[in-house]
Amino acid sequence: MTTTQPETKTTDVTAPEIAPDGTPEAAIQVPRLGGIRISWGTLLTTVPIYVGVIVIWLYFNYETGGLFTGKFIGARNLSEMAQEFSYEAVLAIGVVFVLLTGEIDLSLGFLTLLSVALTVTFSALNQWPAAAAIIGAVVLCTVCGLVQGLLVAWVRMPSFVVTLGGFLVFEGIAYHILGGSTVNVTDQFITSLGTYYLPDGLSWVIAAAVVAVYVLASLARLRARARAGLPQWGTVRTIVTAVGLAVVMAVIVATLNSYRGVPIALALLGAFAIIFWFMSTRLRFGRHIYAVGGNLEAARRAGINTTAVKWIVFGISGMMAGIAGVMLVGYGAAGSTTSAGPDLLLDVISIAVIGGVSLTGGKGTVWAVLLGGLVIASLDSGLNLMATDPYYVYVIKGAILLAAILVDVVGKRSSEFSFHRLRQLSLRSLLRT
Amino acid sequence: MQTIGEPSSDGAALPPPGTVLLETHGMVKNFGAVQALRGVDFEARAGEVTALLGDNGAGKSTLIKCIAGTYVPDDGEILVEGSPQHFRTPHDATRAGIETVYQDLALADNLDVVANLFLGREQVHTWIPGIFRTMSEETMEERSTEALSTLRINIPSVRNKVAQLSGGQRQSVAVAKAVLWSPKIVILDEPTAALGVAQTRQVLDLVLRLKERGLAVVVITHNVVDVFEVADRAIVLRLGRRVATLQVSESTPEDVVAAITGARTFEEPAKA
Repeated sequence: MTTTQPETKTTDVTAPEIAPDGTPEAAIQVPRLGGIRISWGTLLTTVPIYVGVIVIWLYFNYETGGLFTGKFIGARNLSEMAQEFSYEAVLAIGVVFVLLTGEIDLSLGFLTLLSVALTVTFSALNQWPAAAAIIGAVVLCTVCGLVQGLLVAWVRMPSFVVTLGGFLVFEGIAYHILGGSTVNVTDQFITSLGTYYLPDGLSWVIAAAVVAVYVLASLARLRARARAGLPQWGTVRTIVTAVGLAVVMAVIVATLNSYRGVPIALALLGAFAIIFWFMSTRLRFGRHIYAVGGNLEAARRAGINTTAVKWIVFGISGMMAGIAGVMLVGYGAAGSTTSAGPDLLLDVISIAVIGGVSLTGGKGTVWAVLLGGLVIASLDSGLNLMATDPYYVYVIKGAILLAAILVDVVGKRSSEFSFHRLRQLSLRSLLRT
Repeated sequence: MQTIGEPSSDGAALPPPGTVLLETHGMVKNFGAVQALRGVDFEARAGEVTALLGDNGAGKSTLIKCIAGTYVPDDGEILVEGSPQHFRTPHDATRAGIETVYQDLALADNLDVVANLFLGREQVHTWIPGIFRTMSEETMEERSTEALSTLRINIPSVRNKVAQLSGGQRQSVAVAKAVLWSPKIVILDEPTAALGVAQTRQVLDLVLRLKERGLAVVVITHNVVDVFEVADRAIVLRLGRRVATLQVSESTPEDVVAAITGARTFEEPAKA
């Protein structure tokens, strides 16, 4: 029962607190794998997704040629997949923060379309330089997000209703601007965001730099913990994560380089993921986002400006929609009313939820989005390769979204009867009889 | 950034036990036609546990909320260490050294113990002044561990999420969160209301430890048993008035119940 916990500092030997069943309450609550702590919740929610991705990949590969020889797990398909879906994941990173505060943003699909409309207007119709067109579209979308955030945070209208209104408003404006035509964009910088690849060598350098920064930062952290006399539970995890990160980066870069290289869109997604991961885990603002989603009243009483937090997350969501719109224009080298819409919204929410972001707030990470994005991207790409009837695709995606929400809800309920408590209960009853 | 001072587990410089740290005189609070407080005097002494008792609607919560800065009283004065205070917000009360642990604890279940203890007051490492600051997790974890061990609060790991803790542990964390910022006065609202026997014991022991450290502890409770376990004095409110002050060592549970229900009238002792 009392498996050795390194945290001996908190366990005061002179005054052991005894639980009713006679066992110390410090009983271990997390399964451990060679020093790595994994909570049951994590085990139950992320492992099925990894397994799911592998099953999906093998299935599509089998259907498109052979279990290990199919077209699906080929460099070309993976490269196209990465290019095609990076913007969805970028969008999902933005919505994660809205979901973390317990709100929702339904306007994303058409806000992205608005960004598409603005980008083509600025770049193609008005011949603005790329930087001006991009900044113009992103800033305007950020403002749209902030306006919705204002209504949610300050006026306290339900986000569901506010963003449903935004959904219609942005749809109307975008359709009005685009007017049913397809506008081609010739600006090289913008199209490069969706269609160009990084040089092979540069990809390796970037990948190596990311791993190096991670290792150095982890070492600094471990040293700081040692200096502060804190338990070193992170050592094994750090090594495993660093090796894992290096392997994953190497496999991705090697595979993509064997086709045309790492798409710029994917590199952008990586950069956004790192920036927002840093914000959510290392900055006070990130902590406050989680606090607002976890217990709004507690956050407010702790002196956190909860209104500002909610306002800003809608701004982030709008900004990411703006960026996704630019990437989308780059990918198609054009913009039309079919570029984005409600399907995109459904995909983005699915990505977040499959990645383990809770719709009730407070739970989820930026990395989850990459995982969820992989699932949705694989499905879309595979079903497309197999030339599946698009109506079935809707049904399948809808079912997967429901399944993901089911896992979230059941997971939350099961945590009330945690494994630890179950074990205590059974011990207690054993001791009594 | 730190308006409230550095967290410390040793406690601030507190006056000798028995000194009146907190007092109110003639507190009045009306809600429309309802007179919640009709001129209540109250005092809490350093190194003592003062129980605040009363039936539902007696005015306990209103009094505490006035002291904690949540309500602004209509009349009367609040003195901390003899100096008059005018609380407009809970933050004012915190600054004056009063920390309140409400019944709902105000913990974020999705965050770990360290994050909860430092919620809204995260320690940061400044890289570029005013522009780029990251949270200093090591400092926070070290201080959390220290604070919990000084209070002899037993938690498997300070990195456990609050959702994983038992009721007693959660209550203890909420108390530690209040004490971390070296208040002079700690107010606990029904700290044992939702707890089982062993966990109640755990929390009452914690209350005694706060007392040992020389804080003025105010415990609002319905539970007469708790009063006799930890309190030095019991102040009883009834219908917005203070009706009795009992030295717990010289009283019986029957006295307390009688005061609460109004079955017996007690002579109010002359003010100290």
